[in-house]
Amino acid sequence: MTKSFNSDLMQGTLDMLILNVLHSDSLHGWGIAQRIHVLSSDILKVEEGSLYPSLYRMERKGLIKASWGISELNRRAKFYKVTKTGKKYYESEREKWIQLAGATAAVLGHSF
Amino acid sequence: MREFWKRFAGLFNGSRLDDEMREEMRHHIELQKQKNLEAGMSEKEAYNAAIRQFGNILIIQQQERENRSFLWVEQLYRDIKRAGRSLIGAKGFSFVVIATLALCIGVNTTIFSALHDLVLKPFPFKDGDRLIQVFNISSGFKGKSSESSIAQYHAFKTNADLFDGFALLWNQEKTVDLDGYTQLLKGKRVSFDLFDLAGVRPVIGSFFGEEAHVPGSDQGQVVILPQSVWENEYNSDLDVIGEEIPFTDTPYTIIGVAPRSMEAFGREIEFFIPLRTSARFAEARYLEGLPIDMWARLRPGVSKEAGEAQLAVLETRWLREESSPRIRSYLERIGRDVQLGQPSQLKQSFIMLQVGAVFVLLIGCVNVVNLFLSRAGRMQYELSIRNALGAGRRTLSRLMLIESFLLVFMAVVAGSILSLGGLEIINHYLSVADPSIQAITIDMVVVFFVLGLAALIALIMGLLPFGLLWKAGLIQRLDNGGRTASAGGLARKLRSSMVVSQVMIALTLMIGAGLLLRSFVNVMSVDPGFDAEDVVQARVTVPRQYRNTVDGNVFRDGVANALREVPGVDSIAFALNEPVSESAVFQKEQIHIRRSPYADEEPASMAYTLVVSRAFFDMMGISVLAGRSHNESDSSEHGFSGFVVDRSFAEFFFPDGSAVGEEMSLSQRPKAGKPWGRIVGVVERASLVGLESTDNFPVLYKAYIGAKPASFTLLMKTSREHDSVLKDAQSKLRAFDPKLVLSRGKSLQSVLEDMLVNRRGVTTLILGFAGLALTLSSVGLYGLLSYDVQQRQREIGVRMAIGADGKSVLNMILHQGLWKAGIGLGIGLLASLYLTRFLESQLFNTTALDAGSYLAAISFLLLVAFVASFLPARRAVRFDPLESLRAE
Repeated sequence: MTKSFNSDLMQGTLDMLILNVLHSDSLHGWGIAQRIHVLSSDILKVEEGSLYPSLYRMERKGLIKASWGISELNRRAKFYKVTKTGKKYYESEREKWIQLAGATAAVLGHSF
Repeated sequence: MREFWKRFAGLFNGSRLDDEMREEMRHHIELQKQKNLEAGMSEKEAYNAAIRQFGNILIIQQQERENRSFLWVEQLYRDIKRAGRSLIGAKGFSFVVIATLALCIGVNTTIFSALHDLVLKPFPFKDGDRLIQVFNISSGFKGKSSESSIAQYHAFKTNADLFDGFALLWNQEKTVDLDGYTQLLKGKRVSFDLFDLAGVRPVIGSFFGEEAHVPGSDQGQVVILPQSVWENEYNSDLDVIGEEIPFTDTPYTIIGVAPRSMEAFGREIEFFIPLRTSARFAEARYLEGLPIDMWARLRPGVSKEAGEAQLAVLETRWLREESSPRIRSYLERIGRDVQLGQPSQLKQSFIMLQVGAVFVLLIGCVNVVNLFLSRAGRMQYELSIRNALGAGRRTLSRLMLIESFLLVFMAVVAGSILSLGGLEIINHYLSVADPSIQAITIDMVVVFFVLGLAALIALIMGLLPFGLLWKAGLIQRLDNGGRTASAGGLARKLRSSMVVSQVMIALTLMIGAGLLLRSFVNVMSVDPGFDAEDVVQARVTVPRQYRNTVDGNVFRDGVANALREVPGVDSIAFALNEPVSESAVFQKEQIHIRRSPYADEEPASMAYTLVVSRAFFDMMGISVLAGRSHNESDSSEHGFSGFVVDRSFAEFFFPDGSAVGEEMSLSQRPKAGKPWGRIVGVVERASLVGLESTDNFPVLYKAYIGAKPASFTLLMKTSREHDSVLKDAQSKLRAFDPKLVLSRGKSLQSVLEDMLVNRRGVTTLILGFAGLALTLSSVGLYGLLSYDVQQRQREIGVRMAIGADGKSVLNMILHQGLWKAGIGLGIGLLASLYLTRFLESQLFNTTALDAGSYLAAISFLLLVAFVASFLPARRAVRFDPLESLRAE
């Protein structure tokens, strides 16, 4: 039985996840959380307490950009989208994360 | 950088961003609620679940706000306000800290500005640090003569390949007749390569070339104006090129304007003209004694020492291979040497003063650290509470740092004001001591020096005491019951060693000051060999129509007669130049002695020559040792026939017998058939070059008869007040000739004293530093002991309660204080024995190991240490034992 993880994700992991889901689409905060939840087969649950700080941080760093749009509730909402810098950053970091995840899995797999 | 600007913007549009953030989150919660509704929750459940899931909105918002803007600016502001309140609460502490630091910073800024300006700062030219002055020193006479010769300049120019070039400057006065009045202008005769050497371009017009130096060439009567003269006198008129300046002898044509930086070669330069001398001057080497300054530019990468060595080699080779035996023996006898650099006394003085100022700063800082330590001890309770309430080490040290920075900032402000005042005074002194020095200003280097220094002080003050408290674990406990506690053994040891070092530094400064004071007293008690009291001097410019021999005498007699009518004037004398002045200003001439075995050769010997009227020796109280003083027969239109020489001259040239009656001539051997002159008298040596000068260069007096100068010096002996005599003299002279002007009138005594201004200033300052050091270190000792006594109140109370009498307690505290002072004195004594050797050049008739100065400083410091220890000790004895026990 799979369990939802809403424990703290390692800092940086969440950034990578956000950049990933924004790669093709511009989304608002709730949408991002939902998309990650869905993409991780309901395993990862993003806490709002980390999501927004992470969004704001990346926006300040220029990795993503926000603009106001109309949401499905027909209300004004902030939509985020990856910038060029963000894309570059994502590409350069992606490989590392995959390696790290693989290595972690290998190590942990061994010990069991 | 982008992040910085976003944060910066966040400072201003914070509330708009807050609103947007709130809106965004509300939207998020709305969507979540929608989803919960779809999952089958009731309206209320869906909303609550959404809110719960979101977490604390306020915390997220607060976090974001902190990230977004410089929250620390707000916090800093709050902290500064808190620190300000806290410091106002401790008025005494704040005042003493600010006053101490302001004094130290003020003193150091002032002295460093001067040092930087006079010593460290290169010339205001491109690669100015490679520009250097060439000096010829005659150590045999202990003189500091700086003159060079034109022949030497040519020789160096051709042979010294470690240099880019050489150039000459020679002071020159010229007169201009304007509307019948004669105005005296000061300027420089310079070699054409000076401008190249300095690397400057004309502001307008052009500079002159080598051809201007050729005797007889019509290119020689050209003048270059300094920029300030061009701006002030000619209103920066571009058409000034080609205009004539009507110098009294010949008019000169203006060909260019030199940039302001050229004024670094001397203040009050009003013109530059080509240096031209007769062929004889240009060829003779070492002999003309013209007060010419030589400058050189070292090649890139060549050190001063290497350059000096090369010049010395060239000199030695010339002496061995080219000079005559006569010149060689003379130069060896007077110990002639080439030096590069600026051996100005002033500059050495400022280096010494800087050391003194740094010493004062050190002592002051030690005191302030001490104060901070006591304060940290008192603040310990407050700090503990803050610590208990969650303020960590970082927060607490920040609080302490902000306090110290605040205090240091105020001290810097006060110190800067002090140092501006100080510079004002120093500039005033400098203008008297060495008119060639430009006024000192504060520049950026000095500002950075001060700010860096202040930041360093603030860091130490803020962190050291707190660090000690923290390390001793005194803040992390709250169990002190609100009592003040000592800042631990480490802090105590630190404070003791600081007091020891204070005493040590203070002693060093006091010994230095003692030596200088002793030197100053020695200088003042020097017998100048003449009586400057009651003699007033002034310069007289001779109107044009009197400038020939006959009328010159008529004019002088007229002046003398007019002055005799001034009430209270006892006698009147004339001299061609100012008879009392720095040695560098004196004219030197070649001396031929007929009896000398070398009489037929080119002469080598030199002497200062002064032209004075008969009444001079009498008026000045210079006694005649042998023969007689001048009379009418000693000088005529055909030249000088009778000379008066001073003791130093007689001893140098005639060590074995009387000089009187010896035949000699000046400059050149008498032409065939012409008679030799004769020495008619020997007078006492007079220190005409100043009281502290050790210059023992021979002096020869020529009779002032038949000369036809454009200006001369007038001397009057009077018992009246000097200014009013000068005023009366001026009005009598006006009556004789309405266009006669007296200038530079002052008493000889003040001329002598002005020559001591450097020594007086340095001595006063170092004495001031020593006084400051003494005060600060006794306050330090007193503070430490009082604090100790306060800390040990309980112990002392117990001791006295169980029967110790007052005397033993008194002894105990006294012993402690004096023991510390004693260690400080011991180390200080050793340090002084080493350090005072650097003072040697400033000392006069005393040695760096003068026992009197050492003893005086040590006993005085001991006395002060005793008082500083006695006061707290007495307070300890007066404790009521019950009272102090109850205080616990």
